[in-house]
Amino acid sequence: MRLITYGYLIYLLAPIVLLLIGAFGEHWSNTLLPEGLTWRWFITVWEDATYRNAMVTTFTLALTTCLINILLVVPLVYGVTLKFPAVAQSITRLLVMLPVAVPQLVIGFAFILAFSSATLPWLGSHWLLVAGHVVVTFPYLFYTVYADIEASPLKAYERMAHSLGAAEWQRFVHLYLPLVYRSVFTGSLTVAALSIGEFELSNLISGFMTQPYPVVLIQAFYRTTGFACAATLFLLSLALLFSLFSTLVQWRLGRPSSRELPQ
Amino acid sequence: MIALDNIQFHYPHSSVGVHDINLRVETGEFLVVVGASGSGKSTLLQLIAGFLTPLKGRVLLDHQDVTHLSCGERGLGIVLQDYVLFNHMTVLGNVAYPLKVKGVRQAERHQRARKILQEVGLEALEHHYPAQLSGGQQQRVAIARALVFEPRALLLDEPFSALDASRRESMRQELKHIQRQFGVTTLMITHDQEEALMLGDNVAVLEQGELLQHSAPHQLYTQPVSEAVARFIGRTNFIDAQVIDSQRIETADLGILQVTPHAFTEGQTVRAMIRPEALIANPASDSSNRVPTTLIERQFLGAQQRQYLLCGTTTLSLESASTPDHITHVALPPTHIHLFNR
Repeated sequence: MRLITYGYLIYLLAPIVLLLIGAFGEHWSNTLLPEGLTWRWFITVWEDATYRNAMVTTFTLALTTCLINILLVVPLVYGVTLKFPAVAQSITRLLVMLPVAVPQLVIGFAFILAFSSATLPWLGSHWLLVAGHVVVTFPYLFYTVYADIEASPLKAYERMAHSLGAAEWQRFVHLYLPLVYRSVFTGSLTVAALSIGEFELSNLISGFMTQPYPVVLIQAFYRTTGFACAATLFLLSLALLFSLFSTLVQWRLGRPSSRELPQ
Repeated sequence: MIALDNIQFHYPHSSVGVHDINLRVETGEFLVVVGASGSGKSTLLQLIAGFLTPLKGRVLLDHQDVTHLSCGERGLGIVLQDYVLFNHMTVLGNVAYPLKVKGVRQAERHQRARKILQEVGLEALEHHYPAQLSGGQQQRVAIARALVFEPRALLLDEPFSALDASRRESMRQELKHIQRQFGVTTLMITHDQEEALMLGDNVAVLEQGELLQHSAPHQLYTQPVSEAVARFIGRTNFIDAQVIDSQRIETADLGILQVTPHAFTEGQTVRAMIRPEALIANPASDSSNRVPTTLIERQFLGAQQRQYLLCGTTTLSLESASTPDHITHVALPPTHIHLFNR
């Protein structure tokens, strides 16, 4: 069992270690390891406007995707949990799952078909890219929040608050939001991480001026190995940072509060 | 004042519900609705609270028809089984919440919440969160929250079921005290007949959605209107009998028994009921309804003892604080025998 675990970890970490070695190597061709040691590739990547712009695009894209997802998911989960009849709940859950079940390539082609016409000529625009990212990341936030709220006492709270005279907006603000903010936060981190690393759909629907980092990164592999490794490490660092942050937040929020004493 | 006027309700595709309930809780009265699981008592509470709408009949609060008002518009204080305190709010936040949603300014609502917390003895815990409180404290917070906005009536849904047996007794006393202190019209539902008798100014017994009896606890216990009520409230001995005349019945094992005058007809088969504590062990030889018996089992219940006595093939249970070691005869005082249709 331990052997399998170590084997898997090595398998997982080997490409990352190789990228790390490659990014600091002066030359690397036809040898087991690169020759020389340099920071040069990181500086080159940073100084390249295409990569810098792509980083900014990726950041704004991830942030916008998160915000739009929150604005959609938070009220939708409230409605699905409290307002929808059982059948509508099942249908909604199924529909929300579709972007996970359908290959992103298919979604990409659907976007191309829908938005390359004269009527809807939005292919390549930033907002269409945002829309695409929202579509593919939506299920992750929805299910995180939905699972959290299903396990919460929301329905009992709602009923009690209603009997105490609270209007629907008051129940939403005073009771629902405090119950979901943790899962919204952790789910948003997952959404951001997914958006930052998203390539398949972005490659199909982004325009020349709106290319996010993963799409630009593919071009790095036509340049030197050191440059490609350094450029990839930027993305990898971001993904790792988000994963670590997400884990840390989940661990912190998941721990029983110090104020909750055993009865 | 709460009044239910021919209330009828059943759940979709089911006959479970309540049928033609007429009930009245006077201002300041404490009514306990008692019934077994599935008797319809929770449905009744939900109909009064506005969580359910009756199919027929009316719900009146202080003579106002509230049948079609939402629960929030009825102005009722409700304490549910598990209290449903808002865990992210402090005790003060929870108690002040009904005032907050009604737009009462913070200073005033905190002042009113603190006052009521003081009255239920929780002023020192206002900054605590529900998870930091014991079950009894949580219950008092729930009651304080239900009373803070001066509701038209207080509805309690099995408020002691989440408490352990040792806390239950003291919390009953406390609830009764709070109810009297505030003088609020109260309707409580419970499956615990002891709780019902102890707390209620009046007790209503429900079975299969029907109201069997609604009377004062003592009357309910001593003069149950039906065998079902007698079975549900307290322990009872039942003896099958046939009416001889207006003051006598005949039983298979106990012979002819004297009873108080009744309206049953001669020859009618009836069921006689007598409470265990009404039986007299080793009575004087000239006692009415004195029958020979054999002690078959004795149970120690603390303050009371229970004896199982065999009279022919009929087993009677007798309860008293102290009983002789040997029991040869038992008497069934005629005034304590009640007759029901079989």
